[in-house]
Amino acid sequence: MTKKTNTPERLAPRNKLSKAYIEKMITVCLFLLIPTLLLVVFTYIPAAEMVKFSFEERDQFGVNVKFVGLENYKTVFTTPEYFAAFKNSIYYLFGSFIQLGLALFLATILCSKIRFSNFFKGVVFFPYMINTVAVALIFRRFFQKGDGITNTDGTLNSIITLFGGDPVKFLSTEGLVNICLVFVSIWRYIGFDIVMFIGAIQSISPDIYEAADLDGANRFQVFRYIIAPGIRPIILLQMILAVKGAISVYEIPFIVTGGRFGSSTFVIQTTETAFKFQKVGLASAMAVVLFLIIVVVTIIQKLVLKEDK
Amino acid sequence: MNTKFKRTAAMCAAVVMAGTVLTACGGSANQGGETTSAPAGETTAAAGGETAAADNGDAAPGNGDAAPAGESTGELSGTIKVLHHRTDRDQDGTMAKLTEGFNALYPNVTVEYQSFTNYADDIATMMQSDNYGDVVMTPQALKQADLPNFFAPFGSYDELSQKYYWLENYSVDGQVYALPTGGTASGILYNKKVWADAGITTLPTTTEEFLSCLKQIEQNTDAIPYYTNYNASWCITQWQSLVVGASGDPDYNTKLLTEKNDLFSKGSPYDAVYGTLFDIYADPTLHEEDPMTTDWEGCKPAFAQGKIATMVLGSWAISQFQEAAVQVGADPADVGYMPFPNSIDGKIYSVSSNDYMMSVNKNSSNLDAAMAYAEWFCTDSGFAQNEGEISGLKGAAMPETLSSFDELGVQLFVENPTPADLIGKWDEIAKASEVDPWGDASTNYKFRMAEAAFNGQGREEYDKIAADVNAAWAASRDSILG
Repeated sequence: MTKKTNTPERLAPRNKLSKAYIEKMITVCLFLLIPTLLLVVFTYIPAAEMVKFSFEERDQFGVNVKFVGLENYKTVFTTPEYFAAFKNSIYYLFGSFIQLGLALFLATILCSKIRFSNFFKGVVFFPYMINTVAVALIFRRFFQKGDGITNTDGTLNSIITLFGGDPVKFLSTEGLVNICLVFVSIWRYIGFDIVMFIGAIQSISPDIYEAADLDGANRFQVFRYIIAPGIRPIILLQMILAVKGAISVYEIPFIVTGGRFGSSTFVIQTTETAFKFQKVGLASAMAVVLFLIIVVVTIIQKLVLKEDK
Repeated sequence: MNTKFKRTAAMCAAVVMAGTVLTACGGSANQGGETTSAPAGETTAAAGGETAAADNGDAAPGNGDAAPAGESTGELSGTIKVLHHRTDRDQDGTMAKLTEGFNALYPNVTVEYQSFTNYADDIATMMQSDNYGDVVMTPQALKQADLPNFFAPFGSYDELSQKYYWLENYSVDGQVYALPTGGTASGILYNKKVWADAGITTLPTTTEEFLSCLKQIEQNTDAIPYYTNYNASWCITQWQSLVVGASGDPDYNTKLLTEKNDLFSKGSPYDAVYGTLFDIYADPTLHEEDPMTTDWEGCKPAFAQGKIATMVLGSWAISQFQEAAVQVGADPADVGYMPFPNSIDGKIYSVSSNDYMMSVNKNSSNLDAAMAYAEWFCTDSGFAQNEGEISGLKGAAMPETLSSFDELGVQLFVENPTPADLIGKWDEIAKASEVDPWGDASTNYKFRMAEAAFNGQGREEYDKIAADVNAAWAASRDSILG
């Protein structure tokens, strides 16, 4: 690698207006054009519009728009019911740390020399690829308590009865329903975490493992002193994503229970404010507040986690 | 050379990619919903078909004077797009068949349909631009005063109200902006065979009798006395349609505003309806085991087979349950319909109200053809009759599905128009207070009451929720009405 090749790319910075450089720039711009366009059209413009909406009183149809200044923000911060929904985020926060731990454990196992590891990787990633609506149907059936007339016990209750227990109304019992939904959420998203961790673990040089083997390190020591420090950035990233996910959880409770039996979340309340009560301005303000909360939490998390380095 | 080639290839790839994505954007415009079209050319032949000709033969003159002055019906031409919510009727070809009847009168108009499963939200999004088809089902979330911003007027209220029901809430400054496609009565769907097997010979006339009937069904049959269908969140909103009927007063909603009555007070229509809901939901023997895992499509055959005895649903559901009965080989005549049993001075009332109305986009490039279609659809298409709905035309025969109402001597009435100064106020209060009696947000009082009942929290909790509703309603009412 000592001999530098004399390709046009290497020369380019020195000779800014060369034909090759211009061609390269055109190529780069063309490739960037579409993603940038999509990003601006579908993310930045709507987000900017939303911020604008949050200062207005408007309905779904956008007629009779009135500028109300900070009125919507005042309503958000003076209505305790809106923030009460964050208590359900605590369930998901707990769940997401269980999920991370479990994902790390499974990823470590799948990276060691076990048989059919590729098959198992596929199995754990599979739920992530299922459509969320299908997930909702699967778990409605899974947690069902049958009445013996129109339907029968679901999978979980069938197993419970098999061992002599009494069937439980998992989805119609306050408190329990949130635990069930967290379980669904873990089941669905753990595959993504595992794949991220596997990618990170495999990027650690095999030489280090070999050296550890020669020194007689056991599996736990390898994990503690090689894998964990090696994939630290990914763990931090996943933790930030987990907290963000717990605060803004929406999909799973929305389609499994519709937020009933005390399983509502802040985002469900936001969409209901916009589309059920026709208060699009207020809902936009709620979305902006959620965004700011996530930004603040992320910054705090980054600062705290940096300190113990 | 090699690198140069690669670069050129990369550039080409980029250009091609840019091209494809842009074309894809252009091409996908039509894929938002399911589009079915019946080109005019095809249907002229079909228009000779007996039913289409017979249905519309005598209707033609009526439509002639409804069409804009100076134009004979045959001269209308162009393509109109109809946006609607009946995906099922698009798929089974009913809509295409309807077009044949329309083309018999207007052979040069091509009608395209686009249906949406999530119609209410999709149409609201589309209406942010000028491009929302030519004929649409009028979005219910749109405020009455905003109708002229979006739709073209059909004519004066004084004239059209002689002909159609339910125009009151769709008129602004004496002009009508939507016509009724049909309407429904409020009441309770019950399986006649199960009720008879339980030993019930006369239908209940009070809410207490209704509850004891359900208990009787629980004791004497294997059926589930009442199916809440709680998982489908819209099902509970069907209870709201009973309220005005339970009042027996065509001015009930107006009086809520003028007399400043509380929604919930001892014996008020709201109390009668939701108190009954609470009592049924609070008794685990009267409803299904696990309300969160119910299944709307599955309940139709179960009802037909006598596994479910009773459900609160609008009369629109009757024809669907009869279809389900035919499919599972049960007797469709067992699908019975009764009013909410809250008698006032010995009489039982039920209110009929409109289903989706139909409006014409004021920006339509084929306005005349679109108006002609909407008027034809609401007057002569026979859509309401086929669906077992009440016709929006005054003087039309009641659908067979409601024949039981005649036998029971039910007083079916239509709400009176809201006074001009109160138009839109009821909706405004409903949304501002978030009481939203027709709504199905997860925080709605209906769900709070249902869940308090499911959790066995007792009547105190019901009273507490009712007091919350009254307070929220009163606060918004006083700030909006002054």
